[in-house]
Amino acid sequence: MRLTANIVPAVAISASLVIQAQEMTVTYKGSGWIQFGRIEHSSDTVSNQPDNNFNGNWIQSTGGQITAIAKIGDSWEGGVGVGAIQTHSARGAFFVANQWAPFWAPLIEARVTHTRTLGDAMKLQFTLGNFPYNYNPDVKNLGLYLIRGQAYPGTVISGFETKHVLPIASIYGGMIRFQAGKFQNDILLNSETEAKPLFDFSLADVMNFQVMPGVQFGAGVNFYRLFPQIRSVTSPGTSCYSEGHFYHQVPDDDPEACYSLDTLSKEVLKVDTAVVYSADGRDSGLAFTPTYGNVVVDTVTGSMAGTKVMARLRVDPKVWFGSIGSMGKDDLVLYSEAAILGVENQGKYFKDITRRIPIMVGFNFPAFNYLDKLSLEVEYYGSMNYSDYGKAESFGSWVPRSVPGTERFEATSPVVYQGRTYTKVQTAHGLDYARDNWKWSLYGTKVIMSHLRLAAQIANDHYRNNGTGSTSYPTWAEALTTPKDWYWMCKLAYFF
Amino acid sequence: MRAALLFLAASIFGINRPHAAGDVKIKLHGQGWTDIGRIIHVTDTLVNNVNGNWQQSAGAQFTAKASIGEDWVGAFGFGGYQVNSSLGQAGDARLVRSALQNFITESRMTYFRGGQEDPWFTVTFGNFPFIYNKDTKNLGSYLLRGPVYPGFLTGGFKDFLIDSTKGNVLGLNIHQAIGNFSHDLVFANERELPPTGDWSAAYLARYKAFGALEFGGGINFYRILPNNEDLTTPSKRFYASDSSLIHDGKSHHPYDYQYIEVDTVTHDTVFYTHQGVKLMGLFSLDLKSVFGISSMGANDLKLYGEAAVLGVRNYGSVYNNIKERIPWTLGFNFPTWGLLDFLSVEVEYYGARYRNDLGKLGNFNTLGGGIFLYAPNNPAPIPSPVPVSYRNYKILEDGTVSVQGTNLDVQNMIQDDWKWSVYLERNVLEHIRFIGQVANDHYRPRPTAGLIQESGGNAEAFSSLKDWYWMFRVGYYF
Repeated sequence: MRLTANIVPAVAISASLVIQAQEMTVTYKGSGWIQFGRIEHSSDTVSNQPDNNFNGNWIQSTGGQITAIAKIGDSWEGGVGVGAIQTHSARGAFFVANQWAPFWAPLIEARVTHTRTLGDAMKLQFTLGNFPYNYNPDVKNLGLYLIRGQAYPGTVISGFETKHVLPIASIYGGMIRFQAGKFQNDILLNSETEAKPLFDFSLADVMNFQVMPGVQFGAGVNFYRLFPQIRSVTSPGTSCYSEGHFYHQVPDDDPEACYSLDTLSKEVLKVDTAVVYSADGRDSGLAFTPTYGNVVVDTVTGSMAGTKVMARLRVDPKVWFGSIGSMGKDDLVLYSEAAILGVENQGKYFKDITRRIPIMVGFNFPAFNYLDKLSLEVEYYGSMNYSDYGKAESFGSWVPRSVPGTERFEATSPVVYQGRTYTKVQTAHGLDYARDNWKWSLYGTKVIMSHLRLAAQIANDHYRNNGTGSTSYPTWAEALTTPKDWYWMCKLAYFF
Repeated sequence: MRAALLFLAASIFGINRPHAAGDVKIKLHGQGWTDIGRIIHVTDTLVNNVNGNWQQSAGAQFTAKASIGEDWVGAFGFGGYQVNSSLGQAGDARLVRSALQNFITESRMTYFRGGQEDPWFTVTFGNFPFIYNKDTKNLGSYLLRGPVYPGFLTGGFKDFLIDSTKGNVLGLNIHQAIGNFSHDLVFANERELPPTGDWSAAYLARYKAFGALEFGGGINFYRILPNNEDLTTPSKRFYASDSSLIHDGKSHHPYDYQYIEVDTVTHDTVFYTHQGVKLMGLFSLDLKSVFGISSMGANDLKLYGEAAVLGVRNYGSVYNNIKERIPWTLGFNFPTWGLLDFLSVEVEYYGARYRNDLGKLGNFNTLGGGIFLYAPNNPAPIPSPVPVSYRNYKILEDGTVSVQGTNLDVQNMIQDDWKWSVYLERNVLEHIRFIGQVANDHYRPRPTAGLIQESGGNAEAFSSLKDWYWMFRVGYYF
C-alpha cells in the first residue's frame, strides 16, 4: 500500500489523524496473523520420549510485521521492518500441561539495495543487510532445499507457511543480482542465523531462465558453511565427546556425539587415519576406546559444511492453451524441485548420494478464483537417517540422532578391512527408516477484500513442533514420521 | 484547591486552549540496520574467550511523532533487534542462541514555548532521548551513563544510550534557552542497572561563545531518591556475609566484601552505597570557525572533550582516591572534505583500579536473577556497591587460572586505563547510512550460552591496549 501525504498508515495511528507531508514517498507493508491447527496423528511417540507425545496437540501462534520501503533517488532503495512471532509450546504429555513457555521469534528486515541498469535489458542489483529471498515462489510447503535446511545431517525444513515462503527476511548478508532479459542470476552470501553453529557464511549462486513461454528453469549451488566462524565447531572432529548439552533426547555419553563409528568403512572418505590402536585397543586420538558394544571400531569424522545443488522446473500450460473459463493466474501450474543435500559422502550415515536427494512435485489445481491457490505438493526423500537435527544444535554435529535400540552390532563372518578383522557389523532394527520417505501437502489460500487472507493446509510434512515444557528449545525432531501421520493448520491474516 | 491548581497548570501548558479540528499531525520515522563485525583480540579470557568472535545484529524501529496544536508534541515508537550472542569458546558456540530484544524508542510528551524548531522553553516527560553531548560517538557522556560506586563506564558500538532516536531517560526534562546559554533539569529513573527504580536529579548548563566554542557542565545527584533504601544503601541490613569475613581472622582484599568494610586503623565501619554525586565538564571547539575555514564538511575540524567525577566523596579503602574516578575523554573530527560525514577519533583515560564487570550489580541485559551465581564464596544477595574480586570467579577457586600480580590483575587493573575509538560515518541521499568503527572501548559482548546466563554480558571485553574490534553497519532511515 503506497502512502502519500494524505493517506494514513492504519496500523500505527488513528484514522482521524493526518500524516504530514514527507520528504519522500514511503511504501508501507504490514501484516498480522493468527494461526492454529492440530496434530491429528503422530506415530513417533517413542523417539520423542519422554514428554513429546504430540497426538491430538493443538498448536497455535500469532505474529505481525510492519515494513517501510522507500525509493531513494533513482537507484537506491531501503527497507526496514520489525515484527515478531509469538509461539506457544506444544503440550506434549499430560505432565507438562501445566507449564508454559511462549517465546518470541524476531522478524527484522533491514536492507539497502542499489540498482544499476546496464543498457536497455540488463540490470545489476546489490543488496546488503537482512532481507527476504525466495528463489522458488511456487513453493507453499515442500521444497526450497537450496537455502532452507542443512547439508549434513541432511535436514529438510518445511511446515505451514514458514518464513521462507513469506516476505520475511531470511538472508543475513548480501546479494548481487544480474538480470538480462529472461535470465537472472543471484549470488548470495548468507550468515547462518537459524541453525547452530551460528554465523558461518555460505556462498550460493542461483540462476533462473525462461526457456520458452510457459517454461521456467532454475538451478543453483550452495557452498553451505563455506566460511566457518570457528572451524573446529563446524567440523568438530572428535572433540565434542562428553560435552554438556541441553538436549535431553541425546545421552550425555552419546557414542556418536559428533562423529560416527564404523566397522565397514569402504565408502568412507574421512576415516580417522590418525587412529593408532595401542595394545589395550585404545584410540590415541580419543580419550576413550571407541567401541560399539564390545567391538573396537573406527571413528569417522566429518563436517556440517557441504555443497548443495538444486534444479527446478516450472510449467504453465495456460500460456500454450489459454485459460479455461475464469482461471486464476496460478492455476494449472506444474512445478518441481530437486536437490542434492551434500555432494560428498561422509561415513555410514551419508554413504549413498541418492538418499540425499529430495524431489518434490507440485500442482496448482484449477480453482477458478474461488481460491487463489489450491496446491498439492508431493515429495520423496529417501534418507535413511532419523529426521532430527538435535545433535547439530547440541554438539555442532553433522551426525543424525540415532534412536536408541534401533541399531546394534551383530555377529557375522569375519570381515577384513584395512588390516583389521571385524566379526560384527552394524545393522538397523526396529525402526523403519523408509517410513517417512513420502511427504504430501494440500494447501489453499484466498484473499478477500484485498486485505484479508485465509489459508489452510493439511499435510504430512517436515513440521517440527516447539518443545514442550518450560524450555523454548524445539524438539528438532519431525513430528510426522509415518504415512499415517498428518496435521492441519489454518490462518487468518490481515495485510496491507 | 486541587482543581484550581490543575486549571492553573493546564493554562500554563495550554492544555485548555481550544484547538481546531484536525490539529494533530503525525509523522512517521523509522530506521533499520544490519551490523557485522569481529572482536580481533581480547586479552582477558577469565570468563569468556571471545577472541576472533564475529558479532552481528539486525534491528528496526518505528516512531510516530504527533504535533498536537502549536505547543505539544507526542512521540511513541517501538523496535526490536535480533540478539546474537557471542560464540565464545567452541563449547559455547554449540549452545548459543539468538532471540528478539524489543524496546520502546520513545513514549513522551513535550510542551514547547517559542516554536518547535528552536524553543526557548520545553518540558518533556515520559521515555525520551536526552543527549547532552552530541559530539560523543562512543566514549563520554558519563554524567548520565553508568553508575557512580563503582564507577563503571559503559558504551560500545552505537550504544542506545547515546542514540538520539531512542529514549534513554525515563522521567522529566525541563529545558530553557536564553540566547547562547541553555540549561536543563533532568529527573531520571534508573532502569538499566540494579537496583532499579531509583530517581536521580541532574542539572546541566551550556554556553556558546564566539560562535565556535561551547562549554558546559553538570551535576547528577545519582539515586538521590531511592526506590528502596535498603537496596540502594544495603550495608544497613545486608552485612551478615561481610561480617563473617571480617571476623574470620584472615586477610581480605577490600573488593572481597559486599556492603561494609571495617577500617583496620580506626575500626570505624564504612557503609558502601550506590548513591553518589557526579560532576561533568565539557567543551566543543569548532576550529573551522576559529580559522575562518569554509571549505570543509560541517563536522570537520571539531575538537571536543569531556571529564567527569564519578563520585565526589572519598570513602572506604575502595573509593579513597578521587583521581581514579575521573574519566577524561578527548575527541577530534578529522577533515574529510565531504568524503565522510564523520571521521572521529576519541581517546579516553580512566584510572579505576578494578575490573569493569557488572557482575556484582546484576545481570546486564539478561533475564537471570542471580548475581554471580557461580561465585563460590560470599555471593552478593543484592546489588553490591563494591567492585568484583577474585572471590567472584569460580574458575580461580580451583587454582586453574591465576592472573594475580599480572597486567590482568582483576583487583589492580592498569592496562585498561586507555581507551580509543575511530568512528566513520557516511550518509547517502539523506536516508542511507554506512558506519564503521574500530575501537578498544567498553563493549560488553552478549552472553555466550543463552540469554539466561550470568557469566556473559557483564564484563568489558577489552582489558589491555592490545585489544580491539571492528564493526560495520549499513542502515536506512527516514
